[in-house]
Amino acid sequence: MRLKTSTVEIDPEAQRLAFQRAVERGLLILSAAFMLVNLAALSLVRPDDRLTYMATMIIWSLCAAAGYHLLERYLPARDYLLFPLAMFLCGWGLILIDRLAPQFGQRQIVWLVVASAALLATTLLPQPLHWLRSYRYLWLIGGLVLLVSTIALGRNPSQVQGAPRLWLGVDDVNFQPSEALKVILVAFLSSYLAEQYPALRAETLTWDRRLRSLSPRVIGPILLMWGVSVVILIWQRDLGTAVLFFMVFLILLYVSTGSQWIVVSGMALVLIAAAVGYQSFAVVRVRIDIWFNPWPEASGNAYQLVQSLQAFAAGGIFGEGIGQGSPDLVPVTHSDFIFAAVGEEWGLLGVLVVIACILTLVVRGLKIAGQQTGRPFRALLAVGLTALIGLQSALIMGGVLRVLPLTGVTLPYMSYGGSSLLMSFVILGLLLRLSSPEN
Amino acid sequence: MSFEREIQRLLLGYIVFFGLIVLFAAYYAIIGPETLLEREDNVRRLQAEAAILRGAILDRSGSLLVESVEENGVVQRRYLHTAMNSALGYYSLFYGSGGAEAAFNTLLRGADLPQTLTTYLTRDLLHLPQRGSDIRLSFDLEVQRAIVEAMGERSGAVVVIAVPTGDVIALVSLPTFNPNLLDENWPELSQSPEQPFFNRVLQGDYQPGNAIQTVLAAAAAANRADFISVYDQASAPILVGEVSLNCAQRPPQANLSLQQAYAYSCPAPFSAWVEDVGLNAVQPLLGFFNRVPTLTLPGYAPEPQVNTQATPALTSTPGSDDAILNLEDALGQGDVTLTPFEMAVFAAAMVNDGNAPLPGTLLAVRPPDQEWHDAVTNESVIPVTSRETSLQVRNLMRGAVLDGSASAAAHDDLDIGGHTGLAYSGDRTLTWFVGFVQTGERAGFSVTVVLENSADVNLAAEIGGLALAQSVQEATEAD
Repeated sequence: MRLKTSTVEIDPEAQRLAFQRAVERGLLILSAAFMLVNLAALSLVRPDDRLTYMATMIIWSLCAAAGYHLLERYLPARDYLLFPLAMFLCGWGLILIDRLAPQFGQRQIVWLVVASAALLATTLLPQPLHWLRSYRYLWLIGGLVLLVSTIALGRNPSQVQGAPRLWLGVDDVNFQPSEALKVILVAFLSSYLAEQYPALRAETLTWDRRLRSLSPRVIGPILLMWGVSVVILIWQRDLGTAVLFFMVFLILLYVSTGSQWIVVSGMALVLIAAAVGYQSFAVVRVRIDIWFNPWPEASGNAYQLVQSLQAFAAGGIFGEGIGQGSPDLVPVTHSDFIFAAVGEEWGLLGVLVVIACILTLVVRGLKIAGQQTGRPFRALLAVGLTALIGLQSALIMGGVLRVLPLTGVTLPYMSYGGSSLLMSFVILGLLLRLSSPEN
Repeated sequence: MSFEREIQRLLLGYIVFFGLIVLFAAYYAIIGPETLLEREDNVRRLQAEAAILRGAILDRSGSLLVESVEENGVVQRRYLHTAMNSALGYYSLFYGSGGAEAAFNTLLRGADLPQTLTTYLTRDLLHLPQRGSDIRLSFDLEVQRAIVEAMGERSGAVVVIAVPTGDVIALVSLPTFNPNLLDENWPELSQSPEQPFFNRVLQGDYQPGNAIQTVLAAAAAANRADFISVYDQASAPILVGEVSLNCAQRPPQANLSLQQAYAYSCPAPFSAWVEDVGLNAVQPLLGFFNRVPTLTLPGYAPEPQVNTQATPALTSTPGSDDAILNLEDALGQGDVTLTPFEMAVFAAAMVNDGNAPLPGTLLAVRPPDQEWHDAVTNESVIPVTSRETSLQVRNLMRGAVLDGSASAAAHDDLDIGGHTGLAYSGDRTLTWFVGFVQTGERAGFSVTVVLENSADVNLAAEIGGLALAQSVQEATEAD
């Protein structure tokens, strides 16, 4: 008797996608479990706020589930780590905001809904990358107009006397134009550099010719637009964002030209700018002084930084536990210093998890860039968007740990701030779109 | 064409920088607790201290003296009886602690409690406030209250010690401060010329003046001196250095025996006796105070400063009486100074047949959620003199109360003995009363009263007698 054998053809690509979807689902479930455990623990410490915590949990879960299903439907071949990692960091941020500044918790959850909608819009709308590229001057001028308008119409929601007025808003709803300008500027630079790319990267060019290729005619418009943005930001004393713009500009220029001299001369410019800023601006002088030695000013100008360092020390390796530490001793800990709160309540382990998540986002973003063979705009856009997440995280994490002088930027996905969350999700949407071969 | 090389370098840059952040975070998390958290300006340390629920303090009969109350997450220390202020001291987040609060700080904070599963769960895991033990001290609220009322606005010190236990029944140092308002008033209090933080009972190194006659009387008794023979012009003042020493109270006649001179606290016969027998006869009794250099209540007041320059080779010359003691010292107006506490211990030794009890204040401890357990007490004694000598001194003191300068200390039905004395320190006059009440064999209470800027020996004796009578009454009621 002959046995009848049959073979089932297994498509390796389908298998890989199925595995990736399982990992993505698993990570989202793990994130939900993390939130549930921490919010439950927090409700033991603060039983009066249980309803708020439940609302946070439910709305985050709805956003995660809706996001997953819509992405599954419209971008089935997307990167499988970006969305769950961003949702995890965002959920962690929500827990911290509920714990540190309950009055802002509900507002942030509303912004999460708006940001999720923006993420889905970015991924579902037809040809957003084409729009960004084709109308780059229009986008940039629009962004600059909004930024300039903060000089006349700007406000500061915290209403702290003397604080920079970087927001535009109506009633209680505020938006920070510089957040949108970050994405617009990256799209502009990527688009422009992608056009100049053949001239900048011609293999036959010698070094002197390559340097000459960076002539004012080629690089002039880009320097002009970038310079206007940075000057306005410095005018508005938004130094953190100005530094971020400069670094992203440097990275895009380096990647597009392949010239290490760009990096070296860029870093030299940073040092010169720091020296000039130290002499000219009190705020820069204070930041650099307390970076070198915060201890004499522990109760004065360096209070925030010293409290931040002591938060990490108090957290130790395993942390104090949620609701058990005193991260609220760090002023505005729910915003720029949220990383210090992680250090105090989840310890070094929590810090490592956050860093690992952000580094993974960066690795995935750069991987997406690397996959854009023959499509320089998409590659540069992925590099630039990734740089926005990676550099901004590095600036603020390094700042609160005294690796770098402090710059007032938010930690993407985690810090309180509607504009920041919204634009971080737009960046996520664009990266997901870039990661999807069908787009 | 792709940007593979640049992207790889970029990625390497990110990894290096994020690695640097990890290193810094690890440094602060691992090294930080030993460095950053120990800084004086660490607000978290202050917060942790503020959250500690210090134990309550009770008096010997169980009356609540101090409690910790938590209001809106902030623990307040409440001192319930102003009469107890100088004994209990203070506790402040900003200014530390003093008095009993300092002496038993470890117990009150709960720092001595062993690490158990419960403490791990409550403190380390749930971060519930650390709780300290309640303590019961030997002070008697009613005795303390009676003394403070009798002292009124005067400056001085009063201490009562029980015999044979050594329990300190009362410890009054005036003027004092309100520990409930310490933080608000600290600048004024710390600058005040009245020195309210100075514990006069334990730190007040006063000139003993005529009060040293009790020690001299013990020395005389030990040397079988003649207490009956009469000294001519015994009531006349004597000049010690530039100070003229007088009887504490004018005696009825000019010629007095040593016994009568003691009763009226007249210095001349004692000066004559010391000159007659030599300073070596006094040395062993006065040496009692040197043999026990830390005759104090540990922790209540700053420990005596040890002068490392003052080696025995520099401060004494064996074989020469003058180097050890001179007549001025023997008459209480030289370099020898005594604290009220030391004199009270000496008087207690007279009640205890010549053996000084070791004084203490801690009676019992109650750790959180546990029962009271008695504190470990040191029942050993410090031998001062013989039983016979102490008996003779007691009789001399009884005589001074019966018919002498200490008569104001007398109370009906109580076996009270005492002695008053005047001393001069700079332009200040000090009045001393050293006394006892005997309630049984080797049982009773000793007392020392010092009034600053006063020559009213009757008042000092009256306050001393009141303190003794109140102590007996409270002890009787407790029994």
